[in-house]
Amino acid sequence: MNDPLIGRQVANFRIERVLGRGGMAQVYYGRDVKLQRPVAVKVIDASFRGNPAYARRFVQEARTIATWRHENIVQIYYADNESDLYYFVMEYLDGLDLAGLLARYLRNGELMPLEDVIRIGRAIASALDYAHQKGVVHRDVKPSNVMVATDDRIVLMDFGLALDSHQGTMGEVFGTPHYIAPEQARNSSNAVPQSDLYSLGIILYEMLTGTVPYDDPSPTAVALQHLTLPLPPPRERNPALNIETEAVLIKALSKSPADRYQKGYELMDALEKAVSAHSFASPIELPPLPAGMEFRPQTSLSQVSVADWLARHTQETQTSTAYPIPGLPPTRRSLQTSEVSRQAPPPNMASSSKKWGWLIGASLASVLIVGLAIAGFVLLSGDGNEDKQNVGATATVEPSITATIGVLVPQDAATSIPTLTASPTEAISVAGIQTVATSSPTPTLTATATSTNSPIPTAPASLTPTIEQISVSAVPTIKYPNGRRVILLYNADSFYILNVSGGSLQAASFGFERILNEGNFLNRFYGNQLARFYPTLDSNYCARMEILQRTGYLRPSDCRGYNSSITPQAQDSFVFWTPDPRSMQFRVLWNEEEIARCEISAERCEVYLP
Amino acid sequence: MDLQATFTQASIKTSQNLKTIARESAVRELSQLSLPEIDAVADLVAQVVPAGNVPGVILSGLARLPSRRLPLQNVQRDINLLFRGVEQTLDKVVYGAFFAGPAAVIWGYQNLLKLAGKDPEESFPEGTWQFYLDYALREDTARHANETHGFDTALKQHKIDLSLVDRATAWAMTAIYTLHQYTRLLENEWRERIYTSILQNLTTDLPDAARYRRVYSEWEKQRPYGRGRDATSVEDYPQYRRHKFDQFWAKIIEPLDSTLKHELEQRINVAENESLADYQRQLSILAYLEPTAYGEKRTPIRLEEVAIGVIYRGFYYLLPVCQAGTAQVADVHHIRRHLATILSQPTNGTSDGLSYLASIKRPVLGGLRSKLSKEFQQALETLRFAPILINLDRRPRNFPLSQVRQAERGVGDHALTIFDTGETMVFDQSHIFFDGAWGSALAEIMTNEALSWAVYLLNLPPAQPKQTQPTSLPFHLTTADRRLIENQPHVMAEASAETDNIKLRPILSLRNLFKQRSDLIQLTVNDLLILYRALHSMTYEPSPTLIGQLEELSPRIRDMKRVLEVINERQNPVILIPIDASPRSPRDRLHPMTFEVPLAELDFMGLHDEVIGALNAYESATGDRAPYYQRFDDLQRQYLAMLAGFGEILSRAKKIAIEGESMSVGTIKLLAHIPTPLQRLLDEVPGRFDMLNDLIKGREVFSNVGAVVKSSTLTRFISAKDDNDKKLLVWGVITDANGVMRLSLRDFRAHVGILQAAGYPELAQHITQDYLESYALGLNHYVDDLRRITLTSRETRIQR
Repeated sequence: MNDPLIGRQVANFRIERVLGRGGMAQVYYGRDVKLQRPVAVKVIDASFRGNPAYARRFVQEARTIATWRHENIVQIYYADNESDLYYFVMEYLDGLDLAGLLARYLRNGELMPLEDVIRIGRAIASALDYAHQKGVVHRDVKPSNVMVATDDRIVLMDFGLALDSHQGTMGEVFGTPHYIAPEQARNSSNAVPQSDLYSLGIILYEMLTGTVPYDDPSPTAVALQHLTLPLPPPRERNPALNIETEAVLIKALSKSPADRYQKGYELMDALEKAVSAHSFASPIELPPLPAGMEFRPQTSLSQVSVADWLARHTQETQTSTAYPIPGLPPTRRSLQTSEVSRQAPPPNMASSSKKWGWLIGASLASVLIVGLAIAGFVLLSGDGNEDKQNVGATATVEPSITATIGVLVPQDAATSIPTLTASPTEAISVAGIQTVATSSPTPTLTATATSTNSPIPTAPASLTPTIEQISVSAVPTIKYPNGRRVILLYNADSFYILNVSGGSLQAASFGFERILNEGNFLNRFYGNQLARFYPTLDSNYCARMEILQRTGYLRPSDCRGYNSSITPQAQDSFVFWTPDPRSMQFRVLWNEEEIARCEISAERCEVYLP
Repeated sequence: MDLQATFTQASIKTSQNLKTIARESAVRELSQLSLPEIDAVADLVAQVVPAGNVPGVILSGLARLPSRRLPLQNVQRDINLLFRGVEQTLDKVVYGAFFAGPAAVIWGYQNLLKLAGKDPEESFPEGTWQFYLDYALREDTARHANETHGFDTALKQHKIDLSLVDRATAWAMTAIYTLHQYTRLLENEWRERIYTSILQNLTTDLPDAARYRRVYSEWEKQRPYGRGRDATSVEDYPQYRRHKFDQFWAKIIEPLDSTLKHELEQRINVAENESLADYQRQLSILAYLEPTAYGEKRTPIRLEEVAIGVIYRGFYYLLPVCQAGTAQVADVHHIRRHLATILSQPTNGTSDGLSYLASIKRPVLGGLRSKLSKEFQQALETLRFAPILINLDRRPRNFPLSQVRQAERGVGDHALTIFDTGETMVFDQSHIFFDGAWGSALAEIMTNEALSWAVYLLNLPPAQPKQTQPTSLPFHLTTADRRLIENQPHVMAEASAETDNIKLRPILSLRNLFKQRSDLIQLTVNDLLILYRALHSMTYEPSPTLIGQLEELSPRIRDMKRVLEVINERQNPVILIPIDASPRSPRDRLHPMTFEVPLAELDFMGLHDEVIGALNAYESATGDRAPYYQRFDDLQRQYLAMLAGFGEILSRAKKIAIEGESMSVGTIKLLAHIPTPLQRLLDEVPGRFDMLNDLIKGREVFSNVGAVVKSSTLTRFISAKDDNDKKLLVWGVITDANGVMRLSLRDFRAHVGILQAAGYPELAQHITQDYLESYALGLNHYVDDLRRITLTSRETRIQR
């Protein structure tokens, strides 16, 4: 604000505003008043002006590169000192530095496209080769010193630490620890051209994997890691990389300069060749369904609430015993289910009360389940002599029912019905009953239609703890009770998918979507975002989404490791699990089929994949 | 009498008659021109349209009409009369050799309108380009094509194995929805262009005018071609895109003060009321073309009448676009079942199809139809109601696009044919309905939409075919019919080739180097392509392999001499460059500009060789090399100034072509070393280009649709040529999302027909490929030279 240089003119250049601060200098946006073009003016920091060594170094930077002409090196127009003000003037570049660019990719949970990695890498390599040819080592190659201009030009900046190898060195440790070469970390005077190429290698590593290889809050620790630790295999960070690419990075980041690529172009030629072994087609996300289309037949959950069903059923039974479900074509699966219900009504149902007659006669399993659910409730309530009272009873449980139950068609669900009445003490609610049915795929639960003639099964004792452990509302709908088990763990800041299925899962098959209270869907998340990092979710591994710059990440101890990590911003359109007054639930999709609905407030939800 | 003399004599007679009428007092009173000007215009018209007494008769008729604006029917009738007049005045040979086609007639007619004091602009309510299209880009060779790979790549990446029925259904539903949404798709196009253009005009005096000039290009970089993840489940693509643009727009205009916002809103409202509906009507594909002797008649069709044409095993089937008796979109399950039935048909039976007719010249097609069987005619009539055809018979992916499209593709009455290569989809588009840019955008949009349908369909249980047999359109020809068709005139024989051997990165790097040398060197990638095309035309040498082939086949081909003449022809071509005119007015669509690189005037080739020679001498010199450097430095500056000037000429010409206005040449004169011939040339760039005049002159088309956005899956593009037989080469350029520049060449030179007739189509193909590859490799070499020249400085040399 009070910078005295703002508004001042030095030579032909008017200083207008601050652009940024470097290690020992301030950079201003200015204007060449004669040529009427924007410029960047770099002025030595006041604290260094009295230090002749720094001042010399500063002037040296300008002198060094003013004579150069290279499309990937910033062009110096002018340099001078005026009343103790050491400054030089360079071309003004409109764009973003590579550090900012990488941060954006990271925020979106993405990696830079390979062709851009090559393009940027090649530009830096070309600039370095040129500088090295001039006998100059940059010594501070890092993403924030690489400018990606709006016209796509890539420019290496800030030769502030540049060292003319013929002039010796002050011997200090310069450079940024995350990108510093081991020999340079020991002593700045050890820096050689291959030290710059090591730094370039780190940048390439970061662009290709999304992380720098060595990281620690302490700069000294980072420097030590460069010196002592073997390179974390790039393919551990990004399994999509091929072996050839990994080999190039390993060579580029050898501890000894002699073992590295000796020229920038050699490194980039090798890398380009290696990555071209990939299929270069960028991943294409599957788009949403066509507007207005939903998965209706066979695999979908009904859009009709239980309360609606009951109301409609009550009306219908006054005239007919068979209730056709509109919008559901008679698919093979649903027919089987209806056959089951016709052939063998569960004995307990048949014997309980005449009031259930209309339910048993219903033609589709979905209706049967709903009916049974209500039956369970009525049995427990000890009242139910009239249909009217049933409806009244439904009304009392309506919030729970309408919020958690979909009308299920598949046969599996129908066969789980016998357990509903197994233990009145457990059958606290409909949802609870379903938990019993699905949490342990016992033979009883998978029994076919004929098994419904067997005596009333009781829930195995071992299931009881599960019921207690799992929040009832967290497991509201289960479509594939015998399916592969996955646990979702989440809070306002983070979301984790823990694969406890015993095998690996295709990450791209997942989908999630927030359910608005009025029934519409919002905040769609596609599993292929996870798959970009690693195609599968390994057994006992997690995929995670952690909202950027939050502190309350769950980081469950059950996760052996993370196959995928995404760091969205809170407002990103795919964040579906966070508290929102408009929404109480999200739904879980597997290959676009809805398989479960989960309560947002529950912070845990178990789902079963087909 | 030689041909030229015959033509001249016809012109003189026409001129005399026309002058007599034009000098009559009734006409003179209407005309805004002086008598010498009237005579000059009459001479010009007669030179371009030597049509005997017809121009005079038309002028006389025009003079009797009171209004300054003519009904379209009158215009069409007069133009048809002029065509007939030329045909009758010139004999066939002279006509073929000298007459410049529809552009000449329309140009001539516009001048007659001027003589009669009418308003030529008003008399072409859809703009000159659209009128021209209806007359001059109607043949099979006037269709351009593009290709997307997104559908199959995405399916592969996601390991989705879509059944053939669902693949066909995905595309059929996409086509159906495209037709239902087309008006809104066009509305989006119009809004985006008009809003940004009005904003630009309104803010020219503001300090941040430059920001507002860039708004459309900013939008181009982010506009979606498919529904994103943030689309709601009921929001279709046009709604989604509109929503996205509105969000973008709100941010753009946010800084404007309220007065300006109000003014902006008012102007937008006025424009919307005055021209949106006209634009939608003009560009609608809900229409079919009807060939007349000289032009196409576009007949609109109602959505409820429309069908999608499906071609399978050579048979044509129709699918409804609406549910029966309503304007509601057809049900996907119904369409799917229908397609399941079509695709389950046994292989027996044959259809003659329509490919025999597709390449017949349109002027004779109308008459020919009436000679075919009633059943055939009726089937053709029915097919007219299918603006989109989907050919499900797989085409080889490795064919050049112009060969991919050489399959069943209707007869050319419709807007779009989609071909399936199994790995990509190819969109073959009539120029009357689509320009390169809009056609490419639509291909992209349709690809994304089809993918949405694929996602939906793959979760459905297998479709069951209907029990009833599907009915295909009965296209059966008798032997007599075939003979009749074979004897009709066909479009020019064509060979084609494609290459992706151009190295784009060095070109982009060269542009940066130029920029570093001087802000005044503003050559675009396309400018460099055009410049090198001219150099290539003068320096092309057939490859040794081709020479070997030619020598080997020479004894077997009768007209080999002519083939060799064509190959060895070295002529600097007049290049027709289509310029996108839609930012100014979406209805104008394109403005074709012709350009002849001033090779001789500027001695480009000589200077290039000289600079390279001086550079080599400097680099290899020993001892005191200062004089060598000085020599190189002088030449280098001169050459770079020349390149800067060339870029300036093209830039100025493009600006004039688009805007119809001149721009300052002040900047170029800042260059110290600008060669005198260049300054002269700059001064000679006219203040306004006459579109039709340019069309008459152009000999090659060079169409670059540019670089696609990163998310795009467009891969290939071929451009179209007008029906004038003088256009011999058509270059198409596209740069895909991987930064690969892909160049296509359609070759209509005389040797193609000769070699095809002689049974050597592969040789014709080889000649085209050789020509194209030599262009690509030569360009790379030229760019390397330029990079070397630009990079070299004395300082860098001293350091070595």
